[in-house]
Order: sequence, then C-alpha cells, then structure tokens
Amino acid sequence: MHKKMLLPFLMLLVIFTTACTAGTAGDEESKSSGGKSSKKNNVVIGIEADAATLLANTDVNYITDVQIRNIYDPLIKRNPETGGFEPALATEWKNIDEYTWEITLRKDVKFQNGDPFNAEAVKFNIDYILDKKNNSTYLSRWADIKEVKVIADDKVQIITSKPFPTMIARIADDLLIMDPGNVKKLGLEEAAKNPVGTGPYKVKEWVRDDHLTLIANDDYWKGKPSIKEATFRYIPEFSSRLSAFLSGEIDLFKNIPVDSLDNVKNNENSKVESIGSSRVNYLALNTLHKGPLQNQKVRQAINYAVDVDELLKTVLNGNGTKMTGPLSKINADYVETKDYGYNPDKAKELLKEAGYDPKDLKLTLDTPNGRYPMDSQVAQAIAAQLKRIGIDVKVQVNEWGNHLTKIQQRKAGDMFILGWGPTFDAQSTIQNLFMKDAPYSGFYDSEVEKAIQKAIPIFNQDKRKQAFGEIQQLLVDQAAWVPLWQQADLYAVNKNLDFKPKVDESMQVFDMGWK
Amino acid sequence: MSKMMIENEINPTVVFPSIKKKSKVRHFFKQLSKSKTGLAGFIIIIFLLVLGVAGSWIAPFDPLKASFGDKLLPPMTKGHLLGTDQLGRDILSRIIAGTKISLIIGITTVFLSGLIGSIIGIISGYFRGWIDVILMRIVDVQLSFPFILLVLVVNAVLGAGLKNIIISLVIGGWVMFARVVRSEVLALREKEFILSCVATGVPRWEIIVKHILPNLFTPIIVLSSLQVASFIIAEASVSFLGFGVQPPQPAWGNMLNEGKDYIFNSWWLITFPGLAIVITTLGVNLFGDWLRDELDPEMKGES
Amino acid sequence: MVEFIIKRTIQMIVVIFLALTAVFFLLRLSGDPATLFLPPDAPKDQIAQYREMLGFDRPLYVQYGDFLLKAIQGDFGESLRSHEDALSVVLGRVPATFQLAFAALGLSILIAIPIGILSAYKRNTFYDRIGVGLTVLGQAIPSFWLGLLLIFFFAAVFHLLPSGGGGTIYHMILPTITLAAYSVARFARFTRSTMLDVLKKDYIRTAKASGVPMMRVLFKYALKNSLIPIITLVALDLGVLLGGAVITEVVFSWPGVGRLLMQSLLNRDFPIVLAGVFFIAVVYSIINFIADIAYAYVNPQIRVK
Repeated sequence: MHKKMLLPFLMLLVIFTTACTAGTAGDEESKSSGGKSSKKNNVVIGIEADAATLLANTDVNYITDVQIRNIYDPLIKRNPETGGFEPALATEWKNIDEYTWEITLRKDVKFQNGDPFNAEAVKFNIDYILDKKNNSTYLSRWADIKEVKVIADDKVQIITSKPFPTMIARIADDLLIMDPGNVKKLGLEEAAKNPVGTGPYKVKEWVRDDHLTLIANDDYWKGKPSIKEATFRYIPEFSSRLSAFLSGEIDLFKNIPVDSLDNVKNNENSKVESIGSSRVNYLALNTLHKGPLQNQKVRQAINYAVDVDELLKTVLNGNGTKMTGPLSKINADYVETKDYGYNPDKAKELLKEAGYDPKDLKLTLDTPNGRYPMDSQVAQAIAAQLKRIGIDVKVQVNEWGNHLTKIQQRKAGDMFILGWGPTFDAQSTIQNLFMKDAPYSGFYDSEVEKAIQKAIPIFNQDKRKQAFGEIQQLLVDQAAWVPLWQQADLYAVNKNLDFKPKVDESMQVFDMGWK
Repeated sequence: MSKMMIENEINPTVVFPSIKKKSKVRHFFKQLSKSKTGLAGFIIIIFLLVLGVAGSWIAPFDPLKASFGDKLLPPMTKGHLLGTDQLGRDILSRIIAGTKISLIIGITTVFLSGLIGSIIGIISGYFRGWIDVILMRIVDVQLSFPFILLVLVVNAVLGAGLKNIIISLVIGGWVMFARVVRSEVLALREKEFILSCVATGVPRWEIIVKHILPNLFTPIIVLSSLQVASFIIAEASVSFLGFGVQPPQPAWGNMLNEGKDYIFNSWWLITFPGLAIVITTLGVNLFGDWLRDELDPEMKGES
Repeated sequence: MVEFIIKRTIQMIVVIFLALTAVFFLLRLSGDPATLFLPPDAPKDQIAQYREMLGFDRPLYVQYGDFLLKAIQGDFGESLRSHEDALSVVLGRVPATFQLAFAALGLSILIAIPIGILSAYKRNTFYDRIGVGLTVLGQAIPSFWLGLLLIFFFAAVFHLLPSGGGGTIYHMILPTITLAAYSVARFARFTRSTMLDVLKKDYIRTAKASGVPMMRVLFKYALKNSLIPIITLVALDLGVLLGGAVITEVVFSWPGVGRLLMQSLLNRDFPIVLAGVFFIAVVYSIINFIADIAYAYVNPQIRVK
C-alpha cells in the first residue's frame, strides 16, 4: 500500500465527487439567487411527490392528476369558482334516455403531434379505462358503461348498462384525452414517459423523483400559452418547500400549514391565495366499533360537547369553512342542515339519559398525522374538549398506511378522523362513507342504508337532489359524524405571478401569467 | 485485550478487589472525583434520573394540557421558560416528561439486549457446534443492515408505540452483545483454569456461572456504555421519522418531528428537545468513557 | 487467503438470502398496499381484484417461492406506484447516495485526521482539549437535529443555501456536513489515540533523537504507521455512514436510496423495499467483507476464526 498516496487520493476523490454533482440534472434551475423577473418565461411549482405515470386515466391520484392536466385536456371541465360544468373538448352534452348519453365534440382540435382529435380518440380513452388489462384504478367508477359508439367524427354516444346519473361528473373529474396514435405506436410503457395530448404543454424532460419540465404547445387550440416553460419540482418535506419558496427557487406551492401562513405573508416577494376546497374533514363516530357510540344519544352528546368553532379558530387559525352536515356548501347536492352547536350541559344530559356518566367514559380516537391540515392536533384538541365534561379520550396517532388499514379492517377506535374529496356530488360521499360494505365507512344504520340504496339509481336530477337531501338530514339526526370543515386550500404564490386557485385544485399553467 | 485476560486468570473478579463492600463504593467515588469529565457525566446522569423519577412534581405545567390560545409562545413568555408548542403545551414540562421515556428506553433496551445477547453469546461460544453456526448466521443477517434501517422496518411492521420501539431496538441491538460475548467466551474456554475445571469434572453449568460469567462482566459493561447512547439516538431518530413513540406522549424524538415544520417561525420547538438529547448523550458518553478507562486502562483512547 | 475469501463469499450469499426472506415476511405482515394504491372510493371487489392482480391472494409460501425465483434473476417486480422495474429504480438512486456518502467520508477524513494529529502531538494542551471536546460533542449530537439546525441557520435565517432537494452543488453542502459530523468525531478520536500509541514507540524517539525535524517525524513516520488502523475504522464506518444517509436524505429531501426506501416503506411499495433491502444487504456485506479482510491482514491471529 502506498500510504503516502492515500491522503492526496482521498482529496481528489472528494473534489471529483463534488464536481460530478455540479453536473447532475437540473442545471437549468435558478441557483438560489433570490431571483426576480428573469423568470418571465418560466414558472417553477413545488409539489410533494412525483407523478406515478404520465399516462392519463390510469392512476387515481391528485399528484399525478395536477401535473398531467397541463398535458391533456378533459372533455368537460369545472368552473374554477362554482365547480359547475363547462365545455372543454366537448361543446355540448345531453342524455337521450336513461341509458344513453350523447356528447358533441369541438372541431378542428389537434393533438400535439398533429393527429386529429375526434370521436375515435374519445372512444379509445374510455375503452382504455374499461379494459381490465390496463389496471386503471378508475375502472370501478366507470364500470356501468356498456359501450362507446362513434356516431360522427364529432359525436360520441356512451351507452350504460344501468342508469348512470353521475356520468357527467365522472367525465369532468376523471377523463382526460390521450392521443391513441401515440399510445399505439409507442406502447403503454413508453407512452407513459412520452405522452401526447391536446393540452397547452408538452413534456420536455422528466427526471423521476426530481422534476418534470414542460414547454409550451404554441398550437394549442385556446391560444398560445404566455408562460413558455413550467417545471414541477418534487420536494416532499414542507419546510424544504417553504425554504425553496422564500429563497425564490420555486414560485408556487400548495398546502401551507396554518401556523406558517405568516412566514409567507410577511415575505415581501410573496402572497397567499386561498379558496374553499371541496375536500371535507370530519370526526367519524364509529358505529362499527363495539362501544358507547353505537348509541345515537351518545353520538349526539359528542356533537354537543365538541366546539367546532373553537377548533377552527384556535387550531386552524380560521382557515376552513365550518360544515353542519356531511356535504360541503359547494357540493352540488348540498342541502342546508343545522348543526348541534356547542352545548356541554346538553351533552351531559344526553349521556345521562343514555345511561352513562361522562366521568366513567373512556373512548379512543384514531387519527393520521399530517395527512390533513393539523389532523393530529385537531384530534388532541377534541380530546381536550371532551375532557371538559369528564370524558377520557385516548388519542392514537397512526402512520397513514396503518390508519387506513385499521378503518378498512374495522379495527379503528370509537372515533376516527378522516377526510374525503375532492367531492362535488352527494353520491360519492354518502355511498362511500355511510354504507355497511364501503371500505372506509364508519357508519351503518339499516334505515339509512335502505334510503341510500334507493337514492343512488334515481335519474331525475331534482328527485335525486331531494332524496339525497333527506338522507343528509337523516345523517345529521343520527349524528353519524361530528362534521368539521371544508378545507381551505392555501397557496404560496410569488407576488408577481397571477394565479387564481381553482375549486377543483388543479394548477393550470395556461391560466397563470407573470405581471 | 490480552493483558486483561492475564489479569483475569489471577483474579477472576475483575473490577474491585474482594475487600469489604463499603470501600468498594468509596473507591468508586474516589476514582470518579479524579476525573473531571467522568464526574460531569455522572452528575448529568444523576440529574436525569432525578428528573425522570420526580419529573411530574418538578414540571411547572401539565405536559399534556393543550391551551389553544397560548400556542407557539416564544421562550420566557407567560411563565413558559422554554416557550409553548403548536397546541400551547409547555415545552419545558414536556421535555422533563420526555426524560422519563428516554431513560426507560435507554435502560430497558440495553438491559434486554444485553441479557438476550449475552445468553446467546454464551450458548454459542461455549457449546459451539451447529447451534453456534445457526446463531451466528442470524447475527450476520442482521448485521447486513444498517442498524437504523432494521429498527425502522421492524417498527413499521409492529406499529407505533413505546412497547414496540423497545422491541425493535432490542431486536436490532442484541447482535452486538452476542458477538462480543461469544468472542470472549471463545477465548476464555481455552484458558488453563477452565480446562482444568473440565478435566476435574466440574459440571458445565457451574463452569459457566462461576468462572466464565464473572469475566464477562467488564466487556458487557463496556459494550453497554457504548450502546446506551446509540439506543437513545436511534429511538429519537425513529420517532423523528414518524414511527416510534407517538404524540401526544411527550418524547424528544417526536417533539422534533412535530417541530420541524415550524423551523421558520418558532425555532424553540426543535432547539430545546434537541439539546436535551445532546446533553443526555453527552452525559452517558462521558461517564461511559471514564468507566471504560477505569475498567481497562489498555483500552484507553479507543472510541 | 483464497479459502478465506471463498468461505466469506458463500457466507455473504447465505446472509443476503436470509435477509431477503426476513424482510419479505415482515413486509407482508406490515399491511396491505391495496389500501394505499387504490382510490378511497374503490369498492371491495376492486380491492379484491387488485390483490389478485398482485398475487397477494395466493398462499404465502407460493408467493415466497415465486419471489425467490424471480429475485435470483434480478427481477423484483414492478413498483406498485409507478410500474417501473423495482431494481432499476433502486439502482437509479444509488449514485446520489454514493455521492453523499463519499463526499461525507472525504470531508470527515480531511477534517478529522489533522485534528487527531494535532491533538495527539499537542497532548493535554489547549488545542488538545478543544479537539477532544469537539469530538465528544460530535458524537453526542443526533444527525437529524444537526441537519435541522443547519437548515434553520443557512436556509431559514440567512437564505444562503437551499434547504432540500438535489441538483446543484449548493444542495449538497448541508447534507454532506450533517452526514460527516458524526464520522469526524469518531475518526478524530481514533486518529488521536492511534497516533498517541505510535508516538510512544521506540522508532519515533530514535528519529527525534537523531535530529529529524518534527513535521517529518509526524507525517513520515507517525502518520504512516497509524494509517492502517485508521483505514480499518474508516472501512467499518462506511456502513454507519450508509445508515446515517437514510436520515440525512429524509431531512434534506436528497434523492438517494435512503429516501426512496423510507417513502416506499410508508407507501407499502413492497417490490421497491425488497429491491432496496437486497441492494443494501449486498453493499453492506461487501463493505464488511473488505473491512474483515483489512482487519485480518492487520491482525493475523483473527484469521483463524
């Protein structure tokens, strides 16, 4: 061994490795220069994770969806403020009868590689979801579709095997249009990395677990995008995202924890944009767990004993919209219901009627940690509130995977915290959270179950709304939940970036611009 | 190493000469007072023990009591010496309460892994044969992982909580003891005084208990003093990553986990629990170093 | 010597095989990936279908046999999340982790050895006390706390360096320092004690007595002879470094194997966890193997074991 050589060799090794890193991917990122308006042509968005795939219609996952919605267009989109349906690649839609939907498509739209957008393309995409071989996790939502017929180049008919009243919602939320030619030519595996859509942006570079860079599609049917380049950078840790934002490395990110809002507001280069999300957070009163909460009076008592206003004000700093029932106000099927309000004396009274002394009650509360805004903190705050009337609550904080497994296997405690969304209609919430066999349900009542089963197939929109309205009232009477709030989507935005949050949580670079 | 073996042949009881018990203790303290660092470490440990036992009386506030109006107060406000966390709980009280948990974890894991590891090491080293081969393969398997990763995977399976993190740490930690004890036993059993015992028909169990065990005392203590700090830091790391001891139970690791999102505006949430870990580890290491030097001057200076 | 190598290689293979087995069963016990990869409104029959597709409905021993068969050929399946080949995903992240580990190693050696030498040479003086003090402190600070503090000062307060992610050399500075801290302490202490031992030796006194300048004595004679044990420690510690990399990568969002493993563990992405475990077990075993050889080379008595 040439021991003399070792030290200099090691030094060379260090220099070598550090020099190598300087060449790693992402060189075009602005070095932390607290940069300003040399960025008129690009925008950098910080996001928690990598997209699972760049294929559309495959992975039900917000992270994937928010990125690929810049590459693909939907047939129908949602109004950014009301969530109502608006034309995108489809111009008209109607149902001919309870089993048939007819959609008229926009003419003269081309995919990014020149292929024409037409009815064949739409059929291809829907068939893609329905084909079991593709393992699309959207399949169960589209299972009631029997076939898709091409009527004309710009007309398509969807035939369902059962009446499918929420068809349009499904089309708006789930369906994005990929170019069939590209998929057929490259095969699924390659097309997953080299997608072609009709959207305003094309993929320039995708470095997995690092970033996705898009460049403008100047032939976009709505017009030329004003921002030339957009990058989604993957930064899993919130504090890293915040730090990157404050130093100017990224221009936008979603989900600012409520206690860090001031950091963003007080920074001279940034602002906070917010919107009420369609996602709801709630405390499930678990009737599938053997215990006092199987008694309706006890559940109502808990509702009286929890002060949601205080929670909202002190734990969430007022960021959220209080809910009084299972649906949020922006839900299309929302019907006004009255909440129980905060009345600890009434709570104690009800408990006595049910035969319980609050001081003897010991309950368990399961919560995830960091999945929803301040979730474990809210859980602990609720425990503290219940303690005021003497109830002893043990808060069990679960790692996310364990939390879901517990609920699914019906091993969760007396109460658990969960969220749901995005959700714009009653069925998706109610069917999945209040029925006996639904995996994440914490509630079962035979009367409610029957009512839900009757309401689901109703086709007439008015009758449907009425039926679900009655169910909402039933659920409030049954005190299935302590409804908490509609989340507030909080975005940190560069002061010079024109960005308006949308109620469907999408981040469309096409709709952004630099001042 | 070898010099120690020779010493043991002459005098099987290692550390203290077999004179009256009272002077053993006096000897211990006399030696301790000679070393500034050893003494400092010892004092820190005693201090921690006191906090751990009497903490609930000393703490100024209830560590579990949330006070929403008082959240994220900086240190020295409203009687909160070290400030409050995101639920308005007093940080000083939580750190004191966390002392108990860290001590429980540190002591229990070292004791259990030492016990299990030593038993396995003795069996493996003394009886040899196929049981030795199997046991050592298991040790190798575990050693083919970074310790922290092993603890993480096991903990992910077992789920969160104090009991499970102790189990995970013990599963990760017994191997070191097994290995060291085994090599000591291997060396010992070839020694003349052991061989002569075997020749004169002394029962195996008597040999192990009366002659081998006392000589393992020192290496086990030495290893334990090295491992305590690792266990404490490992638990803190696992809790920091979101497994291990969960809130609202106050443990330094999960306090750091909860506090990390507040670096930008409330630095005290991560500073003080971290300092607690550092001071604890420092104390344990300083005392452990002194102990090692006392038990075997030849090993002085090894890390 | 060759026999030794062959024996150890076989041992290594057995060990890796057992490790994979253990993790395989552990993972199956840790929970159901279906819940995490399917949308929350997936009905029971879709969950069942998904499980069937992944082969989780088969008896455990069948799944295990199938897994082994494929693993031997390097096929660990596809990531449940991204459907990419699991082993390729893991291998793709390796360069990032190695960069960090080697940079940290290089840094710690560069800093630790001079400190150790200085401490030994100026034993029990002011410099020594500072040196020893720093090393003792360095071994008491948990790496993730150090990382957080560094983020606090350099990113939050002074906006000098990025607080996370990969990409440029600036992103590498803080994680490297964090990862290196513990090793610096260990190496410095060890260098000091080894040097102290060496400095006591006769040939050093001879050299000094014959008028060789101090610097030369230190570097040409003392250091040379201290290097072997130091290198052995370094080799042993490379494993510790890799373990520490997991936490550092998570704290700094550094895109290496450690962070991948953590995320996959949280996501129950079994194929990735298994491929990652396999990789780490192999690397670790090789490192231990090399360390053992180095150690055996130094201490011929140990070879007999």
